[in-house]
Amino acid sequence: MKFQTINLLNFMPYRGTHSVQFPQDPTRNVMLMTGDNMRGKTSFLNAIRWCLYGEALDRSRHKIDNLKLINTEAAKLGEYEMSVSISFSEGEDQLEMLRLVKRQDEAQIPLVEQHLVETTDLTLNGNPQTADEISNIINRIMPSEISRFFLFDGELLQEYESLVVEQARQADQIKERIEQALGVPALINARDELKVIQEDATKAQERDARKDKQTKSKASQLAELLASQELLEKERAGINEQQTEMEKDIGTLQNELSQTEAVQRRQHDIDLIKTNQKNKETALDTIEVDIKDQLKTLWLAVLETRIKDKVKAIKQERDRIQHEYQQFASLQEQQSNLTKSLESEECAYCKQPLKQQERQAIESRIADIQSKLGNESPNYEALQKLTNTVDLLNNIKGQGEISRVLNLSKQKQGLRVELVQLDTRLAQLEEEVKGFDTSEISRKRKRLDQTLVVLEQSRNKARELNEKLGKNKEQQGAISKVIKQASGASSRRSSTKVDIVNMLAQIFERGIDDLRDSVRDQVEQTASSAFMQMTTEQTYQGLEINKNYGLQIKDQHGDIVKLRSAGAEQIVALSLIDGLNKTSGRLAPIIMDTPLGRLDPKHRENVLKYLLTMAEQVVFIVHEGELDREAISRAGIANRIGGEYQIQRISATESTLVRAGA
Amino acid sequence: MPEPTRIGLTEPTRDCLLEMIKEGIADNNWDLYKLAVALEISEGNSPPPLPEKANGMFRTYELDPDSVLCAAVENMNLVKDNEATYSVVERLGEVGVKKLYEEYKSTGSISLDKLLVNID
Repeated sequence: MKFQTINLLNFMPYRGTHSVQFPQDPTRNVMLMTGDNMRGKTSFLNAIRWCLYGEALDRSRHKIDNLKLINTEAAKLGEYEMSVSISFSEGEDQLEMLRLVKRQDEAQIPLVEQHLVETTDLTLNGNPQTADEISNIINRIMPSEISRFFLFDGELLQEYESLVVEQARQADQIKERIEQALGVPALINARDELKVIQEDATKAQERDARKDKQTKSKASQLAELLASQELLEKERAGINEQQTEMEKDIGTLQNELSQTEAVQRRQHDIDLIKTNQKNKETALDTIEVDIKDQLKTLWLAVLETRIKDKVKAIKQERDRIQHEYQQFASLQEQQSNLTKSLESEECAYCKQPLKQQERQAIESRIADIQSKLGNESPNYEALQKLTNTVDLLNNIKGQGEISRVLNLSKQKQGLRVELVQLDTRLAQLEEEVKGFDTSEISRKRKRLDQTLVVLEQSRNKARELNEKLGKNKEQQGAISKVIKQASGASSRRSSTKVDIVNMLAQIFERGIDDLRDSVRDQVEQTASSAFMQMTTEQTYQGLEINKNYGLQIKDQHGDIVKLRSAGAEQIVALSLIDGLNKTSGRLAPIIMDTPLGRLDPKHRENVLKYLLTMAEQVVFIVHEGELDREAISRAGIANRIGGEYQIQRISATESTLVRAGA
Repeated sequence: MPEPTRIGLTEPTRDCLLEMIKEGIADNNWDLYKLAVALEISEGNSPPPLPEKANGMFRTYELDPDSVLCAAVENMNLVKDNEATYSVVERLGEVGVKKLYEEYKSTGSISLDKLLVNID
């Protein structure tokens, strides 16, 4: 396959008509297309994809509606015609593919996809092809599922990893298409046709055996098995049909849901925020209750802080008066005892008669005490009053309410701020999902989940049926053998036919496995070789292929490298493309959008050098930052460039393609 | 000076108190009223006379069964000669409730942390 010309009309940023000539000289087979970000590099890749397969993809690999593909400026002026045509050759054949979108006559301004009508035309060597043939021809030349390896978007590397996951649904589809490209279905179809012949032969054998007395009973058994096989196959066909329906349904739902992924994420966030809000509101309510609880006695704690110094002062005063009172009482007692001693002429303590000298000492002491006691007795009432006051004020005692309330207030404030933030975020999100039927999205999501479960159950049922069919076949084989040994001439003929067809079926079955192994080995070898030429890590042993044609890097010990960088991923993907190209024997043009973005300079040089050997045509769609002119020169590409275009900005919504040097 | 058996708030201040209770600031009138009095006592300012007659919404023996408020007011030297202690409590309550209400009106809530930060 070799591209010659592409013509665009009002496609994405390319308003009006634009034409690009692909280089045809095999020695100058590289084309450069340069442009800044957001100018239309990926749109150019999409133009090719859309023209050939009818789908342009966004960065999430979701199909973009035609309505969104029409250039905005053109649409504003009422020009609702958009088309892309590609002329190309395939071997000796000359083809021209045109895809055109126009508004329906009755739709003045197309608002929905249904207001547009899409048509495709393909001429093969000048002969127009029917609609059915168009898709067959394109898929034969470059199957849409493997087109991703040729129309290569460097920003979408992650999907090549799906081939490494053996159970991935997407990987299954890609694998099927890869095998289609590599010729495996030819044998599969032959095997399936042999199965029909096999059944007919077994039926003929059963009919012959029924005529023979010796084999009549075995014929009945065979007939039962054939009848049972028919039922099982009918059931399996029904299940397959259901599965196809379910897969279609799943695909549609996934597609619809993927278009509303952002809305779903936002709805999910809204639900989370609402739950969060509820939790915080409950926490806030609890705090409010706690604060109110603390308020009941908070006034005591407030008073305590202010009154405690006062209480301390009152206590000191009370203690002072109390001490004074105790001293007064003690002196009074002494005075009383000394007076008694004088009156009784004997010591009040030791009961000895008093001497003159002692009497004088007692009289002096009494005089001393009287002077200390003075005229006023201590104020007992004041003491009592102070004691009562202290007792009363001692009741003013908090239980740590202030620190608790402060702590609770802090928590409350924090929660209120968080609630305001949640409210703001919620309002933003609700604004973003406004206009979307979020409950319909939820219903679809539920239906998708349920369908996936039913599909899994259906697959299990299909496995069971296959096992039953396998056993049935085994039993048929055993009975066939018995019939053959015991039967007469006519039965022997039909039995021999059964044997031959069985043998042929086995040969084809093994042939399919052998072919698969062989093409896989070939893909592995060529991809490994390409990988080793492009990687800068020369200690790697190469690549290992799995059943899905997923490739994994083998390190110096032959172990699989579990985590690969984006750069390594890119090189592995390029190696797979090379492996497929060379194994399939077809050389498709390779058109690469942002192919070098994740590579270091040395890898860029290696990749550029290698790409020249990979295809008859290589188109690099790059931005100037990615375009290393020195690396191009070092890789020897400079003199291989057969064409260069620049994508130039006219306005935010319009770009033009300018041929360099034109 | 004989002590009043009932004290209260002027009609407008009473409405303020009831509004705050209605808005859930506190569980009942007493809690908020006593807090208002306590905060005023802690300020240590002599309360001005009531602008109008108070409504006597609280019985003193119910509001202050242990005479704790009474003792606090007396011992913080807020009672002048020939003044009934509970009359002073009443005037403190009037000023305190008004202040709480002003805070509530201006911010939508009573920020206890602001009121208590200087006390703790």
